[in-house]
Amino acid sequence: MAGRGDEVPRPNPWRVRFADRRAAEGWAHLLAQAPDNLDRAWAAITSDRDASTAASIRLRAHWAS
Amino acid sequence: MTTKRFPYSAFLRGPSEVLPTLDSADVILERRDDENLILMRAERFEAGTASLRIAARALAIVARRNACLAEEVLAEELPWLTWLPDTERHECVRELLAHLMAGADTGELLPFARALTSWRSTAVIWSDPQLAHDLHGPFAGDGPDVPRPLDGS
Repeated sequence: MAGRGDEVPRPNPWRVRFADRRAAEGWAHLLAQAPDNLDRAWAAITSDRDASTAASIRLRAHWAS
Repeated sequence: MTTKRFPYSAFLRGPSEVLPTLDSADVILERRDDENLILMRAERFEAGTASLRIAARALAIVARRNACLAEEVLAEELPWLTWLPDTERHECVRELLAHLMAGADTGELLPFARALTSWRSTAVIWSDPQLAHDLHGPFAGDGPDVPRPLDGS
């Protein structure tokens, strides 16, 4: 049972997982180059992965998720 | 007509530095944390949207009379269609045309623009066999969690 001072976890987040080692390496590269942008991307993806905005447009047909 | 770029913050500090530029150019106001904004004279904006609506309506009329011709015309304008497999190419052209016709009717062309971006990105994946292979699931989904980049912010 959580109490005073405990960290409050995100209520209902999407989780991001590395598919393989190359993905982890690419992520580390992005983190070194553009940490602020990557943080915003992470927050956007884990908030609403289905969002369709000017910066996040879903693929079609075979690649639709 | 050219475009010139200014930081959004510069516009907020002193619009008088930016506004004279509108006599000879459209202005893109660059924002760090959000989508850029475009500033232009109303007459130019209205001319652009009115012309676009007429062109879209004209294509919609062609599409109603001869769907095959309209698909051919659209396909000729979008060379990246060649990267899509046959079935997806037909689906893409039909969808874009439907958005265009709906946009011509309502003046709302954002769905067309988003579908266009979406299909173009899809075509780009098909153009690169290695990328297509890498993205081809299914993924086990059991890799290590990706932590928030700037933890604690």
